[in-house]
Amino acid sequence: MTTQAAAAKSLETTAVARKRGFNITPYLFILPHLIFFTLFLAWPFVFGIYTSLFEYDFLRPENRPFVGLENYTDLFTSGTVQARNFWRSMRATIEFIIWSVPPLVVFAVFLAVLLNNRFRGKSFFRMTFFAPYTLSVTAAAVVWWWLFQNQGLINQVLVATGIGGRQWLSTMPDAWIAITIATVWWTIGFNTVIILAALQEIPVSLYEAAAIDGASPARRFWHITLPMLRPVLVLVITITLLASANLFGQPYIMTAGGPTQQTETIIFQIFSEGIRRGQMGSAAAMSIVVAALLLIVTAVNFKFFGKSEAN
Amino acid sequence: MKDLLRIPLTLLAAVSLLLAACAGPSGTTAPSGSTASPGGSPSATADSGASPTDGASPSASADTGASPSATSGASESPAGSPDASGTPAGSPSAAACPDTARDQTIDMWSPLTGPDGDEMTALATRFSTENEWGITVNHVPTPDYLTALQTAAASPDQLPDATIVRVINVGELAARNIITPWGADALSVLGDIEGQLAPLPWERGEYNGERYSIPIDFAGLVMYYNKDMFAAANVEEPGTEPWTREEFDAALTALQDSGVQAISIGTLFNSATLFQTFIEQFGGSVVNEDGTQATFNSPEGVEALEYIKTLRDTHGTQASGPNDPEVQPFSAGQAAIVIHGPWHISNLGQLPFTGYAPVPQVGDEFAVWGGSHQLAVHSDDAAIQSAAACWLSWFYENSVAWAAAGQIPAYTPARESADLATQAPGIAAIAPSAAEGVIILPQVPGLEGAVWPQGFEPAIDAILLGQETDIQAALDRQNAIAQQVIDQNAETFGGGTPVESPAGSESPAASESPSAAPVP
Repeated sequence: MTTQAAAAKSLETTAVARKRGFNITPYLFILPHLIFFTLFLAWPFVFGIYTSLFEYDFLRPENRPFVGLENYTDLFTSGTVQARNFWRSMRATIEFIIWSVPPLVVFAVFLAVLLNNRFRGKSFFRMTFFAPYTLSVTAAAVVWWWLFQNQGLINQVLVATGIGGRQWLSTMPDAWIAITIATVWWTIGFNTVIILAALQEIPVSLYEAAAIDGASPARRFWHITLPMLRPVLVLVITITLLASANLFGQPYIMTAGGPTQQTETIIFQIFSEGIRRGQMGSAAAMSIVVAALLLIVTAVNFKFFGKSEAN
Repeated sequence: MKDLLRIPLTLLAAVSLLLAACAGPSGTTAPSGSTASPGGSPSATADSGASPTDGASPSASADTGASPSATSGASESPAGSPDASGTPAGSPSAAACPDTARDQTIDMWSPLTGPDGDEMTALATRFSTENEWGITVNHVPTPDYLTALQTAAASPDQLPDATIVRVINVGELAARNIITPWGADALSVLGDIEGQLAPLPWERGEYNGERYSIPIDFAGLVMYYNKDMFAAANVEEPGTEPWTREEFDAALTALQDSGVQAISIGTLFNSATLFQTFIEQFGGSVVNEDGTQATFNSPEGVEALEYIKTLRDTHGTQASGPNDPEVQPFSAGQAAIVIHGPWHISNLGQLPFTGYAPVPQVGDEFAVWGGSHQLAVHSDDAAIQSAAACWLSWFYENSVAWAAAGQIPAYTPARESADLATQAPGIAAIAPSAAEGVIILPQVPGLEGAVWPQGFEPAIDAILLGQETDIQAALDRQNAIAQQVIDQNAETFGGGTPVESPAGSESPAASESPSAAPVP
């Protein structure tokens, strides 16, 4: 009793001390991250905002006129090339998010539940599903570029089975399907591992209790697994959403943005504008707008789906 | 309480992730870096001397494995032996190599990442061991070389001494202070080289009245044909004289009647280069003379696109998409003709049935889309420049070996040499016509990017893929967009940019502002 009281008292005093004086300890704890955060995230972000106010070319310091918000207004003035390219690629990005996020989450849950069972060769399969994730985007995209060729393996199989080949990389929506399949194959392992870890946290007692009450496996999944996964799923969905919004390598290699620029995503566009065309200011403005939009999406996502976690 | 805290913390984590992905201009380069570095980066391999946005990555990296035997074998036999045996007097220009150039080491980058890169390395090594002035040339094939050059230029002392650039990039590289004009000292090493080089590639090495690059080669489309199929269809093989439209159409019909696919036409690069070829042959052009107006929605443009559409619909495959899938039916022995860049010689030349001919002349005058590799320097150091010029004059004397790698020598004596037909039959077939009719856009920064990926390419693909049917409307729309980009570029790089700014700064390579540092 006495020790508990003493402990409670000392906690109180530290809390009071924290309120009154400056305690450097917590700041020291976050310092390592803060340094990297400042150097590689905050500073580039601020610099990006600065850049977006100029017609900026880092190789031509002698010609760097201040243009104010023109780079932004260009994006919202219909008829300009920038607005046209920006919103077309924004649309393409949203299309890809719609294509890719559901399978990336649903299949990951499915795979994780499968891999969470006890069976022979479990580690082998866990490794196999995660392995593609370790590839570079180039390797993954080139493999699938080959597979999706008109004369490629997938079409040959489709023809042999009588379904008939398709022009995967040059018609819509086939190009999205191809890119989605490549992306799912490439990145599903990451989501699976996170969900798998969360699955292993769910107390076995819950399942035992449900089994005693006669709940079917399907009901156990719906009423135990999914609710228990909810916080992790919010994170997984958010990460997947952001990753999909950042799609670049796959269309860059598999479709070159085609057919007719319909798979030019927003990052692709920013790359073209900033690196290919050397219009850093305009590209920075695009980045900032995209970042703002993604921040809103993320906030909304956490607000609506993250609710139960707060309770 | 704890749980309440967790939300903002997770949010913060998410925001960090987000920032990592989107922040600033530098953030965007991260993905490009990861895709660009491996050998197969699209722009790196389609080595035309021009860099369309679509490229030929995986197919070309596959080529790489196939052909070095052919090219490197060839490199050892030609003209090399007389030069090697210590007769510098044989080449008058080489004798003029000044003392300042002695013992210089030149790091030279290039976009040559395919088999041609191996050949360039072999030539550079040969020069380094054979030349009597102790000059060393280190060739570094650089995938995605434009990005690499930009990155290098952003930090001090990262640029190489010289780079083999694509002619289409010269204006932009010059305007962005990445390359330096050749000085009088170095040019005097080369002597009267102008008269011995193909005229248009030479002319296009000039920007704002300054000599920024010197052509080493140029390229033109090649009509690859299947000799066996031609024989089976009783079609006479073409020579070095381009076919007329009648001959071309008759051949296509005969081939089709013989039961094979007459010609393979894809989208993107393939149709875009055909479009530029035909519009010029019909008397039009994609831009006006000084590159200030997009003009590809002209009647000639419509005619060219209609012609390509008809060819593709009548004879074509369903080949489409990036990385040259249209070549595959030809190499698989299913299609009789494919018209493509000369860099495919290295892999298609391995096939027993491949023949080479110029692009047919379907309009009033001959023209063929092309590009050119040119040597540019990054330093105004006269010693370095002179050494580079010495290397260049040696290269010219040995450029038949370079032709074997799939490029047309810019040096006229090499092009007219009898060795060419034996060392590089494909190049020999197209060299005479391409020297006359090669199309290279005017030297305006960003012009190709404005008219090609932003301009005619989307229109061509939309028509060929059946997404649109009104050719005039599609070209009109894209022409207007291309014009906007051209105008923006003109504003940025200035028709009116003071000429003295690149020349005036002492070290144009090093950016004056240290704030440029955060860019990777």
